[in-house]
Amino acid sequence: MSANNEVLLQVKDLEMHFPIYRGVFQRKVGAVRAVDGVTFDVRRGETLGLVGESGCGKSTTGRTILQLYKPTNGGVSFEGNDLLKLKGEEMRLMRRKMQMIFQDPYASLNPRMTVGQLVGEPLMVHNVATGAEINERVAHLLKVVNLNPAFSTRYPHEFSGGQRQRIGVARALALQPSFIICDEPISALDVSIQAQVVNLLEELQEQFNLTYLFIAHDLSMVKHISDRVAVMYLGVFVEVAERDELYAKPLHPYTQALLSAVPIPDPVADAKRARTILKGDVPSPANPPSGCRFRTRCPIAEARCADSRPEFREVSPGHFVACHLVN
Amino acid sequence: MRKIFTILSLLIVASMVLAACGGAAPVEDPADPAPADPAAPADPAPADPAAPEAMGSSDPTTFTIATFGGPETLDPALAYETAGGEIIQNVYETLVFYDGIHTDKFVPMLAESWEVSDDGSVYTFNIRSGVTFHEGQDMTASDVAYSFQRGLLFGGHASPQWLLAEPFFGVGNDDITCIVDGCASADDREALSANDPATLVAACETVKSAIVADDAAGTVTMTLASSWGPFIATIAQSWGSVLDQDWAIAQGAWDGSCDTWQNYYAEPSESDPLTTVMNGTGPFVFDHYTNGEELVLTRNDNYWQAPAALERVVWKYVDEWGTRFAMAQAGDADFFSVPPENRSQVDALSGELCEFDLAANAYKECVVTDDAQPFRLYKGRPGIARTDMFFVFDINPVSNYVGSGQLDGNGIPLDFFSDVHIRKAFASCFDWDVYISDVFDGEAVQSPVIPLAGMPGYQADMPVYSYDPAVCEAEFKLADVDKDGIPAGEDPEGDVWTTGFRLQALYNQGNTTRQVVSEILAGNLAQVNDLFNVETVGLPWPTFLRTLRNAEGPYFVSGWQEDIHDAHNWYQPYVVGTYAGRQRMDADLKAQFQDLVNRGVAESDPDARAAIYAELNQLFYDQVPTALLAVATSHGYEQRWVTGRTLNPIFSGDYYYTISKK
Amino acid sequence: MMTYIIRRLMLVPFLLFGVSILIFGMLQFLDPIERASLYIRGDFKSEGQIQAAVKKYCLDCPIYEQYTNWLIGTIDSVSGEREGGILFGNFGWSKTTSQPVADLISHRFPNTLDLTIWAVGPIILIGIWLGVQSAVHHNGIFDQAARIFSIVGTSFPTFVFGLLVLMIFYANLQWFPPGRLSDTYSQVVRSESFHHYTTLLTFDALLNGRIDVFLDALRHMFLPILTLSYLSWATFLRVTRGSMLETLRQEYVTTARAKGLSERDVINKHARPNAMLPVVTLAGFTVVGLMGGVIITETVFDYPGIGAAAAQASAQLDVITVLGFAMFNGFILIVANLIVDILYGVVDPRVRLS
Ligand SMILES: Nc1ncnc2c1ncn2[C@@H]1O[C@H](COP(=O)(O)OP(=O)(O)OP(=O)(O)O)[C@@H](O)[C@H]1O
Ligand code: SF4
Ligand SMILES: [Mg+2]
Repeated sequence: MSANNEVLLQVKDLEMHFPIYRGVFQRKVGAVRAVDGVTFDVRRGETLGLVGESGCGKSTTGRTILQLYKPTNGGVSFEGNDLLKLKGEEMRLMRRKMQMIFQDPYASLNPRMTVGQLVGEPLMVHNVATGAEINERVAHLLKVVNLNPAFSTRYPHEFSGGQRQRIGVARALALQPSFIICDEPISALDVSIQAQVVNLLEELQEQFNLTYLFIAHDLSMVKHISDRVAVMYLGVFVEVAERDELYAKPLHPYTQALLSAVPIPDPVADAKRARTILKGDVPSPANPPSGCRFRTRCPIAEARCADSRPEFREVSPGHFVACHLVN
Repeated sequence: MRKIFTILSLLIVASMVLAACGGAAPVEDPADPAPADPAAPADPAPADPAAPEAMGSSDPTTFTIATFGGPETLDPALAYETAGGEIIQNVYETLVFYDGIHTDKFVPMLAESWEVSDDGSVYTFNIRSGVTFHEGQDMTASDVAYSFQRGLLFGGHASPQWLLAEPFFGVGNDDITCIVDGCASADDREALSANDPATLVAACETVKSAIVADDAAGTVTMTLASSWGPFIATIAQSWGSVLDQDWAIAQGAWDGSCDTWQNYYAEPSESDPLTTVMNGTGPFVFDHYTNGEELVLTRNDNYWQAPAALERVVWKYVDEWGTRFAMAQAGDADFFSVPPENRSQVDALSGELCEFDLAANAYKECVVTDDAQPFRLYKGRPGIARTDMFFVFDINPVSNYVGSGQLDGNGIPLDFFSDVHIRKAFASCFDWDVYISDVFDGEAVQSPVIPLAGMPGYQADMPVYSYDPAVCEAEFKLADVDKDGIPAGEDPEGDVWTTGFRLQALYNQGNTTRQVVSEILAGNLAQVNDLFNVETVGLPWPTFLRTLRNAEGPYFVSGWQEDIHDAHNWYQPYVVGTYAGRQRMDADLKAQFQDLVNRGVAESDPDARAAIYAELNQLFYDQVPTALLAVATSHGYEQRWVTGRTLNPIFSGDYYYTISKK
Repeated sequence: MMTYIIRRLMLVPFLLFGVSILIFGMLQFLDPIERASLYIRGDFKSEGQIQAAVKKYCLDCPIYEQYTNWLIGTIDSVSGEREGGILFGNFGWSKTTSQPVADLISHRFPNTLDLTIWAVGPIILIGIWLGVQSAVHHNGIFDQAARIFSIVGTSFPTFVFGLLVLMIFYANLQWFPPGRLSDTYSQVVRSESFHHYTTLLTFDALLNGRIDVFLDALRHMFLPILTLSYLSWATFLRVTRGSMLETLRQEYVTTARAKGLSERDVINKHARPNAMLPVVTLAGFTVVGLMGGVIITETVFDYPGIGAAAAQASAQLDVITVLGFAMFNGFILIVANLIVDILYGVVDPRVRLS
């Protein structure tokens, strides 16, 4: 896991609000603030883990970075290019370098295309290869993800979940990108296969010097693979730190709560731990609480938490937290 | 796949655009339109586009009729409806034909002249020479004889042959089977064939000896059972058409042999070989009939008279009125049938009015009312059909339409209408004025007698029934429905006036005329006495027909359209034939009528015949078995560029020989 | 697949038998005289006609006998020939058009098929295009306009719409006449030099090299096609739009975008083909509907198809003809369903394999 300091991706105050339409004339009546101002960097060659509860906006963050959604606000720069300023065609070409492995291995593959077409299509679209060359490349890619190249004429529904996820990986790799967003690539899979896929991703990272934004919904999943970890809550980042620092010294009450929920392998130690149980439900992103997003569930919330939004500050080198009470 | 779609859709759009551009005139001159008709499409567009379109037809030699319901058969021996009759009348010819617009004057056609024996029973026709059939053969006296013989032997009640059977075989013998086994095997070929072969041959020989051709002399002699007043009128209609014998036999029609005729008897049109082929001598040649779509005749250039002005006559069978109307407005239909309820729509577009003068028995000079409008309107000529109200003397006991079936205020006894006062009361409660204004928009005249104006027996001054509540009441009080010998008005035990009645009047759904007749009657009866209930009930056509046939309705409203323009054709069904039968008329009344009818038809002197019918009229008025309603007057349209039309109401449709377009 | 098709085909006679029993059974609610009146056109004049019909069609025979007469016909005692018998291809005699029902069908069906072939393109292609556009521009102006268009389209009675366009484009402008062909070209088609290769008029015209006839035929078909299209577009628009919106929400569409496909390719190559599944079903039903004859449209535009004939027959209670049409339509329906099922497999590989 070699991480250097070159910043590959820079995200600044990124916002993604989905409008809500109602009525016969479909008027806009509000917005889902799925991503509501996040700022972070990803360095070349590293793996940044992104963790948060279901619905907190992880996937949306990933997709907005890749400009699969048009951001409401903020900036994304990749290798120094401001992606928001790129015109359609320029952006299309940029996609060669940044890919995504999707969360749902069932829904993300077009059921009408064979594996060969699915994996080969990016090659064709970007004129990377033509004719028989495509078939060779596809065969190679399938081999890389440990699939039988003979499967290339089959349709996705003929594969198991794990196999499909590997098809997704092969597809993402086809264009030899430098950056891949892995959106919960393993959470839809059986535990037994999860390890295979993670190992595969790690091998590939080493082999192709890939940079990952690795999304997962609990901290245990990213612990192994990440260099750094970011924690998200209701559309905002609450904490970012080096992996070991975060696990050892979580500062944000939400991170602490998440960590206390992670079972530790030693059952005795686990039993002794103090657990922070989160009360209440996650508020709706269409109508988030004022001030600190977490205040409705925060065990230590104070009055000012409702009035002003805590700044996302660097409290120690490389350790960012958004909480009024953290110094 | 997607490319093919794109190309295809482009092609479709392009074709549509092209087709649209080809709108006003044919895109290019079709080089070889049809070998038979080289002239037709040569001159596609009207010369001056600035000239008002409405004033000239784009194609003056093709005549188009937009109507509905095509012919059932084109065999003259079998056709018994106007759609087929119209075609036959323009392709085939008869020995004599109607003289212009007259329904009772005749001119020679295939017969150059004819003589009638003094007793009126033998007709000798001198057959015209030099006439050829469309397929080339000369027309001979044998062809004439064959045509009539075939018709008579063809017979069957689905055909008009009964109109010829009666003059040849005697009154009441309305089918060839009547001279074989007393009509027992009527309409049943199997039963007929079971007769002794000698009897069958004899019947056929009777026909052959009644109709004898002499080719050398060029005459045909017809010997009737007795004198028959309307004989010439009878043979002037489509069933008197002359076929080419050899051709007909070649098609598979009766071979002329007396040994086999029964195998052709009562042939339905579906297996009749002449249903869809024609070979006549008339001014037009049958071109084709695309069933239910169109029928086309072309001009006979070898016609024995001067050829017709029109080159093509095209019938388009268009069921939907709106479509026919659009065709008329576009100038694509020269004649078009208009349902009565849509007349106001077309009246608004009529710029010329031709009104019938009853006194002169002719249409007056047409007057232009609005030169900008395209159609000409003919109106006012009394028609040849009438709807009347027939009382049933002896209602079928299975009837569901007589309430309790008793005189208890909740029904009527089955012999209710056998009381003449009840019939008179009903007739006096019907309002002709309302009927004529509601149903015909004022365009109808009340009939004083059974036959139509101009016929022997027609008496314009005959008294008629009219709406009079006082008379209606008086007649109800004179009735003796409970048959105790005391009129209802004085009956201490009570009778129809005090108990009242309830009955159901029937009509077939969709026939508003029949419905309105009963509604008018119901309203007036209730006014006279609120114990009188007439409910109008709409039945589906098949059920309605069954009630008619079984005499289940207390009275029925039905129509008659004449077959030939002769008084007998009216008296016969009304007082002794079809309707009298359905009314289950009292036997002695029917016998009195029968005697008068027989005498009337046999009398060839018009005045003597009129005297007999006057007697009949009086009896009919006194007994009023049927309330005679009204004859609608004509209300028809044509494009104003049509000229030379012969408006004879007896025609099936039109006679196109005289018509042209300007 | 083959066994599937054969199995389905083997069902056809049984289904038709069912249809025939059903229709025949319903007829039995009328008594013999009422049924006889169905064989008589209009008002009849002579009493004997009813008796003749009862006798001829054996209307007072036991039901099974009447049914077998209809099914296998009767042998004429005099001529020794078989009369009727649907199994022998004799559907009976059409009273309304005076010809054997089989002739009527074989004459009218090519016209209906011709119209179907030309109408299907505009209906389906434009209908789908409208739906796709409206989904792609979800909630945009196009979508709103299409929504209104669709509401108007579904609420417009065919009859009213048909007469309206007939009045405008024919009675007033004289661009598109009703009927099948102008008299001039109808003579061409009837001439001996015109060969009827396919019995489909437009194709025969092209094969004979008669572009003028072809264009004239299209000119006559324009308004029926327009009417059919306008009324079907509404449905196609709704179904395609819904399905397309659903598909555009699918993850694999995002995948396609992430791959770097242009938006056009994303819609045309990924979204649209997947959105076509319900549309194929609809298209199948539409084609079957068109092939069965479109009663009102054919009647209003005087188009000599099978629908107009069926309408005419039923309006005049021409039971034999209606019965023949019902059998024929049943057959078409069954076969067309089979074809739609097979097409379904082409569109969706998941169906093909299972
Ligand atoms: N296309 C969209 N339109 C409207 N709302 C959306 C859309 N995509 C996501 N959302 C909403 O935005 C919020 C964040 O969704 P997102 O999919 O990013 O969550 P997530 O963190 O990835 O959750 P999970 O772990 O379940 O995948 C949710 O409330 C979701 O309902
Ligand atoms: S800012 Fe307040 S509410 Fe938010 S995490 Fe810190 S203490 Fe809790
Ligand atoms: Mg997600």
